[in-house]
Amino acid sequence: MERASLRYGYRLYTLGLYDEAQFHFETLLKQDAMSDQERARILNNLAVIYEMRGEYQEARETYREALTLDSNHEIYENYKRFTGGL
Amino acid sequence: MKRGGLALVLFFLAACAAAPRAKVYVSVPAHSLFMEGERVALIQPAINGLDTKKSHDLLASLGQGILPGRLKKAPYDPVLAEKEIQISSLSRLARQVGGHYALVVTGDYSGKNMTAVTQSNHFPDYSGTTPQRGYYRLMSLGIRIELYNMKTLELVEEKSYSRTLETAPIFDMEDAEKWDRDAAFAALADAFKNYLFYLRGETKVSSRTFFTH
Repeated sequence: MERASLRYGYRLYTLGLYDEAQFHFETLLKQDAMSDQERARILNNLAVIYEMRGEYQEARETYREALTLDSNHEIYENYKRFTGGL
Repeated sequence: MKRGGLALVLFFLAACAAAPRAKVYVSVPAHSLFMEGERVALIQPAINGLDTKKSHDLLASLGQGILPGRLKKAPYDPVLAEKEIQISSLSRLARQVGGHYALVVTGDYSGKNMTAVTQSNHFPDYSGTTPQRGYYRLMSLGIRIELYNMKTLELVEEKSYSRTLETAPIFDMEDAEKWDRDAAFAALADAFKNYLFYLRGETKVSSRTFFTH
């Protein structure tokens, strides 16, 4: 996965283009050659977008999916803040 | 020495520019009507003309998303579907899912055909030169949401929501009832979502880590 891909998604997110950012990350997820760690990072970003849009059910499922792939402490921290309402 | 310092600063700036993650901010609930750990039992809704189980599933999934862990779907009671909701029934159903509160949704919907005069040479008829009469379908939904405290068995609050949805000017009358039903489900979801956000309380901004490579 190219570094530019995640940066591009982040750029879309910062511009408030949540639909486009979501589509971008979903497209990235369809790539086969990707480690679990990379996949988890994309899923984390997707979950943040879901949260931003108030789609909490999807956000929760996506965070959990990310955590099953990689127990990254930053993703876990995001999930903890999400569930704790912080 | 100066060069070394400059190189260090440049290295630091480059490292910042290539940071693999960024902080972003999202709006999250700050407080709600409930105390920590209190749960709300969602009683089967009674919307005239809408399938109770399907509506119940829809509302429960919205509730789990917006109030995760707080909103519990009460079991389906076939007797309750037949008669007026009693506080004793609420208490029994709420207790089964450990609900400190009970949420009751009732209402009805209706659909009707409407006529509208469209401008000439506009959608849907571009060939005409005179105004055309168009038909469309209008669905209206009205619901009442009641929140009961199951410790005191009192009605805490009652809120009403109404929604209307309409089709495009050309409408196929054969699908009218199906469209009404689908529109009623969509409107019900929208109204209930609105209530859940209200129930959840105010929001505040919270930071999240966003990966950038």
